[in-house]
Amino acid sequence: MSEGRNTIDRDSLGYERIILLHMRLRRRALLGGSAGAAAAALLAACGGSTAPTATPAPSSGAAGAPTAAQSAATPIPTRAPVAVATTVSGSAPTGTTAASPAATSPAALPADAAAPDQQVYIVNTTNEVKVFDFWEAVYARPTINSLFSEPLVRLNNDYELQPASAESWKVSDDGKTWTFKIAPGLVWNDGNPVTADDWVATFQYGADPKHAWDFTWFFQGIIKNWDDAITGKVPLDQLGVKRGGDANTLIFETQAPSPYLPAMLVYSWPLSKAALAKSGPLYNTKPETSVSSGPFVLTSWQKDQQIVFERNPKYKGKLTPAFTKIVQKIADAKTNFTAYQNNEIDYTDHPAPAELKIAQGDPDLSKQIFSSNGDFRTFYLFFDVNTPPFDNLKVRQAFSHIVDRDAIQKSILGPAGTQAYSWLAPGFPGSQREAVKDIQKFDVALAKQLLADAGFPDGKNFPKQTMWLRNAVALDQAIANAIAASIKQNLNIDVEVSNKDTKLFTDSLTAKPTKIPFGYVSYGMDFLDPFNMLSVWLSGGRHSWVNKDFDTKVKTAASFIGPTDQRIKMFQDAERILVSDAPGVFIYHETPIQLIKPYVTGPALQPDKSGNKSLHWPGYTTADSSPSGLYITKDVTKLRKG
Amino acid sequence: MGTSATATNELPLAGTTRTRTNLQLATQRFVHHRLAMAGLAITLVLVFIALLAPLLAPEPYYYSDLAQANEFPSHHHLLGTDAIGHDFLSRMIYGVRTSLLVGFVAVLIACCIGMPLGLVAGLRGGMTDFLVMRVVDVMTAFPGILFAIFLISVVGGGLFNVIVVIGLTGWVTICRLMRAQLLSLREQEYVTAARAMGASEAAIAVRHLLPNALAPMIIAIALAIPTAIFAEAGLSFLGIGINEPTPSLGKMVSDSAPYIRVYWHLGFFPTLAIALAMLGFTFVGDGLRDALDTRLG
Repeated sequence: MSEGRNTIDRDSLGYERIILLHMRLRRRALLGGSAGAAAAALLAACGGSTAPTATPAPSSGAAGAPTAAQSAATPIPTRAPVAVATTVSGSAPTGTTAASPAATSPAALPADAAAPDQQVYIVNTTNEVKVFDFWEAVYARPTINSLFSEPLVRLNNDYELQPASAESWKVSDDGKTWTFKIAPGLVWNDGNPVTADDWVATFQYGADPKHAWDFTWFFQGIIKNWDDAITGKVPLDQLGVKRGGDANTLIFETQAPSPYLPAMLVYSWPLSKAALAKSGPLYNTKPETSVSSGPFVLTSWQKDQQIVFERNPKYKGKLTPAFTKIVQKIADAKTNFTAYQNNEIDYTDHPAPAELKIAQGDPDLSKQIFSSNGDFRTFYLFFDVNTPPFDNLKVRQAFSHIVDRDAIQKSILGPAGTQAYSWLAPGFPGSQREAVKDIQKFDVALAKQLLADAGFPDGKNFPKQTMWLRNAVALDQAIANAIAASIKQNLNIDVEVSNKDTKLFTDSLTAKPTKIPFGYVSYGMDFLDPFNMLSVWLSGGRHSWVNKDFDTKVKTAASFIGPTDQRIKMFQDAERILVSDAPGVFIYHETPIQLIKPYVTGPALQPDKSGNKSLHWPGYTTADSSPSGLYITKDVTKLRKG
Repeated sequence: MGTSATATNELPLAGTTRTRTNLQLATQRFVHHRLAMAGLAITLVLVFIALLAPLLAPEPYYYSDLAQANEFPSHHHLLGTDAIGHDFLSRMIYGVRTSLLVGFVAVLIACCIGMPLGLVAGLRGGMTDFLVMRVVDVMTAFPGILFAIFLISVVGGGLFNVIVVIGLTGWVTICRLMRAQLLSLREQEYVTAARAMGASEAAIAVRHLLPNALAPMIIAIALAIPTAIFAEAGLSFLGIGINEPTPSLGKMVSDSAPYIRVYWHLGFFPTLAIALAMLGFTFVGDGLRDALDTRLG
């Protein structure tokens, strides 16, 4: 080539051809993928089961398996079962006396269990780990967390509330004061007993404006003085969480009757008041200052490498974990599936669609696939009902009839989701999918008719739309594209699909007035009560829909302290209004895929009441009975590497 | 007829005079440059595909049939189908159209900004030149792709925004080139002569300087198009370029990445198309450079 002074630089527009480096900048894939995987993995790590509920241990003195009694209660106990909670611990066929919260060492394991030194559970976690404690920072915890203390209540394998640190609780007649009795004998491994003061200190720390906890919204409007405490308007000792008459009595005061408060207290892992005073709130980030009242302690945390937990010999709670050691390797979420295939880890979840296809095609892996309920997450289209054209009910209804959910489930979702025609997912309290299935059913002719009635025959003059996505992963992008294609093909309306990053999306959505006319997003439950899911649609919430009838029904049901089935019916009536008025079109309920090695088994992986077989939310944590329900079999030596 | 390719102004026999314009000579050089002709063929085929996309594609690009998702190439769908049942051949054809559209229009925008600025800077000199060059320096300090990412994150994605952003980040080289050309050309004697005859600066610029500066500009434009195509593919690959349902070759490559172990066809064909588009224009640009280069000082 000529070397004259007018030689043209090959990159005539000044770009460096270094785009390969910038593949690392796949913000959406990276942030979305790892954040999504981390967040979901946090909440669905390993599930658990309850004790073999059918047979109380023959040697157990307590009459009537408490789980049987509590199984009768619906998942929304308005009043606590005042019955004394005997050991709800796992397999205890050999002489664990029921009444005492003893059982520190795992009772005799089943015959096929591996030796204790082989009972090691290995998983991956991403590198965004900063703390282990929920009350320090919810969204910075590893896959397996919350094992260093026990909440007041926990869930069994049927999502039913069980006593944990609290042995019983009751509510006052006006419904605004709850009294929890802490089980005696619980201790921290620094020698201090677990008392109500620990919970008081924990909740005060959560509400402390200096702490700026990332979960304060959760108790807003619920606990007395919480809203003022988090803004610094009242001192923390005015918070409605107080010690009762003695060290083992804990009082909660609420702003209004809140029958769902116990369900929310699944998250009430206490921090140690003494350790907070001595080492500060990050005391669990180092083994030497870490203090635990739970079944595990922090043995080591090599930054960027791995985290190791081992059994707490001083544990006095009711769980009977079989694992003696838990190893969490720090790795990029994208490598999880490969690590699982190579037998380096025992569990992974949320495989990418292609990875799922590989697993389904493999004769061994296909048997290791579990569809869980996850956090009962529903994915849906939503509209800004205050601006045309979506202020017209017929337009919204037309859109609701244009989605072929069956085809989406078959071709795109596979085992990762089920069709959604309503808001509450199957298995969630109050869910009534079959009853309302027809309101938003797939019907192209009806959709066309409705659109024509609304004044847009064959899509004429309908403004071009942009569907906003919130940092969606490949699966949801594919679904959004399929829906857009269906709208274009059937209704002749142009829809562009635009994947926005989370902050931009959230800020635009919650702006008043909202800046998103049409979008696709999801919501997963925070606690197991219909009020939690339905409250998303209340006026003033994240969407612009306002329906007074719906608001009244939901709020009345929320604080209703009468019979449970009546309460459920009220919620269901409200859901029917939601589905009929269609501020949202419900697409699918996520059933996150879990891959679990065959040598990890136990009652936690048995089918629950509704037949679901998976590790249930919230996973391998003291808020769930799963630690008592999982063990490693002898096959581990055949499969696991190293 | 019958004249050898290397002859310039060969004196003919017996009284006839044939002269060749430089343009004809350049064309001849171009035609005999094999790679350039190959590139031209590829380019013309792609332009043809892009222009006639609605006629060539078996199905509209937005048409999807979920029941036929993820199929391998067959007689039914010549290049198979993608994850939501689009006919992949149709998507590819429209994707080529999008790529070429972005390539041409973005470079057009870059020229519309860069050429006048370079012209003015080169002609005027002094403060104008100083200011324009300082702006050029600042723009050069930003890596092009990062600046494009930044602009996109401010204005959002979509076909229109992507074209404008790529144009806005690409005018710099053209401007500099134009200016360099002018700095040398304005010292030529014919310019002095024209000035002496009373021609205005504008007339000199348009009638004398611009046509002579065009040769390197054409080469620069020919080589800028593949860069623009690649930039669009890159932005779409990162997920911040063109939005669905408009097909984009870069986005198709990105979407295919998780499936590469299973559905290889989803990644192979768009990558091939991007490569061909870039190669075609690059070869044409090389050919042009060789053809026109001997004219340059």
